[in-house]
Amino acid sequence: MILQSLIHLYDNLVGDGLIEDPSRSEAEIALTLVLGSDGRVVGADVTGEFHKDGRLKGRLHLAPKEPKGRSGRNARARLLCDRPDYTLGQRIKAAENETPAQIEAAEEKARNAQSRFRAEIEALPAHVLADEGIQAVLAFLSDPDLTSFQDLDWWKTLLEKGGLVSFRLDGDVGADRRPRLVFERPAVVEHLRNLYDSGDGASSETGMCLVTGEVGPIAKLHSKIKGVAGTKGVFLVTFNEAAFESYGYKQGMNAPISVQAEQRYSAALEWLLDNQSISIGDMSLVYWSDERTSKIEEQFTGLFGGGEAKEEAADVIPVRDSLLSIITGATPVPKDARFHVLALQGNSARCMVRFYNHASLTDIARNLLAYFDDLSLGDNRLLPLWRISSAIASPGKSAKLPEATIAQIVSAAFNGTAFPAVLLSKAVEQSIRSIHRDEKDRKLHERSRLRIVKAVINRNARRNNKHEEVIPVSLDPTNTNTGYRLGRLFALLERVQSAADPNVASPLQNVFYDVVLQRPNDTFLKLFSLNRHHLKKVRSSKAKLAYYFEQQIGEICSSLSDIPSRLSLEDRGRFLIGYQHQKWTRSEKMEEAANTDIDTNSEEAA
Amino acid sequence: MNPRKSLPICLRAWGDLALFSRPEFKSERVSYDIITPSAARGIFEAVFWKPQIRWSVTGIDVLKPVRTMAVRRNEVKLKASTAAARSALAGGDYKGPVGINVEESRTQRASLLLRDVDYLLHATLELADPKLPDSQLTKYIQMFQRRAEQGQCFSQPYMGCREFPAFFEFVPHKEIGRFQPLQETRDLGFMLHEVFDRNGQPNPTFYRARMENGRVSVPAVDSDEVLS
Repeated sequence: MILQSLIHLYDNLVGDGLIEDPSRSEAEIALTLVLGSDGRVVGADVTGEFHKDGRLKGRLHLAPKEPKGRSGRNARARLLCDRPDYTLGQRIKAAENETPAQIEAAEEKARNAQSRFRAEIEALPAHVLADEGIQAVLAFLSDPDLTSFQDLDWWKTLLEKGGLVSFRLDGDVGADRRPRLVFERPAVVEHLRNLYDSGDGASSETGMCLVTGEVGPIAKLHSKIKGVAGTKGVFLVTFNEAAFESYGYKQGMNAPISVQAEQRYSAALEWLLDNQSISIGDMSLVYWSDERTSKIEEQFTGLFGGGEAKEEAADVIPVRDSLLSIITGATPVPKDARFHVLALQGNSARCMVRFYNHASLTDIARNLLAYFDDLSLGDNRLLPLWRISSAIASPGKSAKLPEATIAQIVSAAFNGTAFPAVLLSKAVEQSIRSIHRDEKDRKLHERSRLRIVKAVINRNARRNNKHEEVIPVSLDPTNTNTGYRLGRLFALLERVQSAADPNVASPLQNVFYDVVLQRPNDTFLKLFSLNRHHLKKVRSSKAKLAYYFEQQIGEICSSLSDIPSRLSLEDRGRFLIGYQHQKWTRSEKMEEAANTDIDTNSEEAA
Repeated sequence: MNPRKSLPICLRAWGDLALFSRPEFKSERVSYDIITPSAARGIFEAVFWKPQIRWSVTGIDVLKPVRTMAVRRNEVKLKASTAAARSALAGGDYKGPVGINVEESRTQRASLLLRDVDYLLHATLELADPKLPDSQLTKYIQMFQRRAEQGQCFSQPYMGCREFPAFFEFVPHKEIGRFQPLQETRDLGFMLHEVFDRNGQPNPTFYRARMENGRVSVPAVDSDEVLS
């Protein structure tokens, strides 16, 4: 299914003009030798810049692709651009303290590489060989003169750290009047296109492709996929160890896939990794829909916010609206349009499929909407994945959730399945611990933690069909859940304390926050006795306010039959939410009562 | 009606985990969405098989939704050499390594498994030996039914890989209606039909699998499904 869907996507992308030229791939050329038509070196193009690791920085060009399966003593050279040992016969990466024998061996290897580079060019069809640029390169290779470069700094860097070298004919410019490299000349480009269309001849056997069902040449080796997070290039389909082969089949014959199918799926996958992917740690998540009519794909990366802390999440309203419009049918979507999500991770040159889900676009839209609503606290802001990560990680430890958890969260978002249970327990735990940390941590993360708690509890309630247990988005005075009410009570008692003693040294929350969740009944006994003193104090200056407080407390307690001795994990979560809901709600009545009292006092004073 | 071939016989098979590896994702294993006809045949054969008979799967009904789970396992990357084993067995001279040194050939491989699977498998039992008279067919059918009802099997049936056992139960014709297949219709793409051909040689064949309201019909071995 995966490969088939990717091939379908490829056809769509080509139809939309988004994939331009799959016969070539992007390459960074560090050094371009400028040649005269007789092959003499007349100059060199270097950018003069460097990467962070000291390598020469080059310009990006669409170049011939790297040959597949390049390893071993007789590996094929890349056409017209390759490492210095292939192109120039110069050995690279010289180490110190090499014996003369080692030096000689390395130089022999480089010479060998260069002859293979030459062979690759000489294997071109006659009409391409006749091209002026190709002739210049061949002439250069017969008699390379590089002495003028030996002392230059960048030359030494190139030989030490590597980089791609290519060639340009002096004075040659493309249609845009800019200088063009030999492999950008029309003869070569067309040759590459023809090669691609005919299937690249790398395979010998014919058979039935198990993805498309067509009969044709079977790909012996598949392309390396670049762009999977944390890797330099991995194979999606490979049989690179003896244990993976069956029945004596070798390499690609273990799973016959035609060359055309292979090219199409790998081009589609690379496009996805470039354009529609979210990277979370070591995992890359790509997504696409069968029909490209909906704009949902463009908004996805923002929805989850990626794994990096720097990306600010998109505002959720436009996304929500577009999701809604798909669900209600305002945006027309073909009935069996499917949406695919594929999570990939590298594992020693192979690519693992972490999960692959596909569902109808409407179902996906519905699930995503539920994901956002679950995580929302009434404001229209998003909770990106990295924020979830840092909200529930212990500070000091690297704030990264294990990929399995992240995979589960994303899977839950797309499929409507349960969130990983660890989210709830960690969120509650961190919320309790954060009381003793500095204010900054609470400011940053408390709201996120609450959103996580609410999301997990609500989703569980929905899945168990217990709709009455769903937590509201903002303060709900009618909710009778014990945990929720106790949280509200705690916040209220705290409010009374701060009304009694505005500059209290140790507010209730600091002293009792963790204890109250572990032993509610004992703690509340103590809290109530403290509360009596606080109320007394408030009553002495603002009688009406005190009365108001008593009313509120009474109202909350009225539906509390018994304060339990333990709170379940979910109820602790509700406690936290109730606490925050109550704290944030500035009751109008309370202000009024306070004002009235102040007036009374000032009257009396006056 | 072919007197040497039975009507479809139904066996229900279920398990906690299943892995029907796709050929293209054999190294980092990804399962097909449903059981392959080849694996289904394997379950029938584990319950009852003799060289005189042949099972052909005709249909698969999916009873539970498709759910996946990813695991990573440590495995070895080499194959033990049979030549080395033979030499070691043959004479006393062979001093080379036999078997695999796990420490040196460890690699981690991921598998995307199916979770909680439940299928109704339909297959026909056919007399393979032309020398047998037609009357033997009933005998074999009854043998199968008896064994399946009593839970007898030659070896534990499994869901694609030996480490995922399959449990089974015989379903008589009139009780098939008790089970409600998944109400889902979708195209499953090209799926492995059979690994071995009539002569027992590995020769994988594929067919276009379509699930209609939870039912997948499997073409016969010699029908229009395509060859590799």
